[in-house]
Amino acid sequence: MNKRTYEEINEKIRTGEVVVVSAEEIVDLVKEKGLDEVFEEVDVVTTATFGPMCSSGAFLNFGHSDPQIRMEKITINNVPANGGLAAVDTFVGATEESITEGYEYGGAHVIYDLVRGKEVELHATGKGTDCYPNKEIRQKVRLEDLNEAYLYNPRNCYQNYNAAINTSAEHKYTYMGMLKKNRGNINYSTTGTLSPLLNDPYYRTIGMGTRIWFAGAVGYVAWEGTQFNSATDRDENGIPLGGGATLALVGDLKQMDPAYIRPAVFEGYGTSFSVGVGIPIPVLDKALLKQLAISNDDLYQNVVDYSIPRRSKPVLKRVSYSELRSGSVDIDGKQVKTAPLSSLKKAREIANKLKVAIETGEFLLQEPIKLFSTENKTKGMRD
Amino acid sequence: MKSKLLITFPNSTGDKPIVYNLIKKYDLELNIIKASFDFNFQGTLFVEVDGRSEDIAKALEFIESEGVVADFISSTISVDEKECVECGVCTSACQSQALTLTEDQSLLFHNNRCVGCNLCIKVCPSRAIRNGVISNAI
Repeated sequence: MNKRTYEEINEKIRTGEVVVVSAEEIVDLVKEKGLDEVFEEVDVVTTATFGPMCSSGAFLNFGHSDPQIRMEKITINNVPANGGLAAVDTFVGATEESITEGYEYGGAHVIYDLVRGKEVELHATGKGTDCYPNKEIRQKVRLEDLNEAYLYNPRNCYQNYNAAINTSAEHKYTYMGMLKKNRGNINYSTTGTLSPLLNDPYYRTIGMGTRIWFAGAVGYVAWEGTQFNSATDRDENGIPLGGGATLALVGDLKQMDPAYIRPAVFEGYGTSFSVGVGIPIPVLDKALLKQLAISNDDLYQNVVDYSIPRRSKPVLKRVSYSELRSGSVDIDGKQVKTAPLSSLKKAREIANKLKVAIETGEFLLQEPIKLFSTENKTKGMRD
Repeated sequence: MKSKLLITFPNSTGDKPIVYNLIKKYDLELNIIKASFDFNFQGTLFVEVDGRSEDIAKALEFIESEGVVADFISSTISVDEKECVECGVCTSACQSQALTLTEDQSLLFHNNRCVGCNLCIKVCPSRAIRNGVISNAI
């Protein structure tokens, strides 16, 4: 056997014969048994990530009030939401900050509170029209009171990313957390060998329409993510040296498990949002299996100096995930402490939950409707 | 016995050599973790105290008789396990290795190593670290 199809895999899922392992387990398995034997055995590999990503938000429909209102200025728990949609539709962005509490309570917290079953207070005003005469509404609502509520991430699952350091003489407060002065620490984000797009670097199976595990709900890859930089420089294994590709994700908020959603507050920066994502990769052929078997020793990130306030920042060193995960990295003779921003523990739970969902026949694989380009280059803003 | 004490000095005690007495009279080993005093000698001292338990007890009586308030601090911080996602970003902020990740990526808090700097409270994105007992005082 040299190839496997989606149909064959889904048939095995239906009959309960499918063999699924996580993207961590596959590394050791291939080391132990070799590509040929493992290819015969394993049908699906589960990947997962759980890290902060600012480009997140939710579309909500509240249902019509009586008399009706065209909501133009909207807040939810004092967090401004977008009034630029139809009468009772809104989009609440995860990074939007509370008018009263600032970034300690943002759009991410509103979404989290909704998923946790808490009541949130909607306040909206409109100018009043013949068809929407009501000018102001204040109402406490729960997720179950809404018609539709879905999470939409214009960008998630960065293929690879930077490890952040600060060489300046002052602490820096960034979306990569607090970076201590004088190379005091390195923060990095991604789950390494478990990370979805590191396992499918040329987007052969992860594309538009791919079914995903999205905080416990069934979700889909909706589009390529923003800043989709697939034409980036790559190493000898095809892994992007910098960010690379990203994914736009969508899923039903009402089906989500609050254990896999978390607002993230970065001191001196703002609110962000973490959501658990699990993506199954079908082992279609041995070339794909070879990519899946790459270990943390062979996955690299650039250590980038975040003290330079310019678009292009200097790279101090290229380090492997194994080095980053060891707790410290040598930077020009100094042992610098490293810490992750994504939760590997949560990601492992997700990879396992997705594995069980596939094994028990609850989760079938969806072949992408359209594959992503490997030639897309992200531009900076027009100068 | 080793314990941590938060000692609060009212402004009336500025002229008394209280810390001197703790060392000299009660044979205590004091390791000052944090101290903050204003122009009126009013302030707080966060110390790790090592000594025989009966000496510590007597020292506490002495402190109180001088009109100074001393509180045992059993834990400088507490991690809310429901909110913590065990990402581990606090471990790089923690200078004293009081917060560490285990091999299986679980977060551990070593109370005895904590110096109460409260940096972890600031850097925790999940806002899962709380009760910086001395944050209000110092």
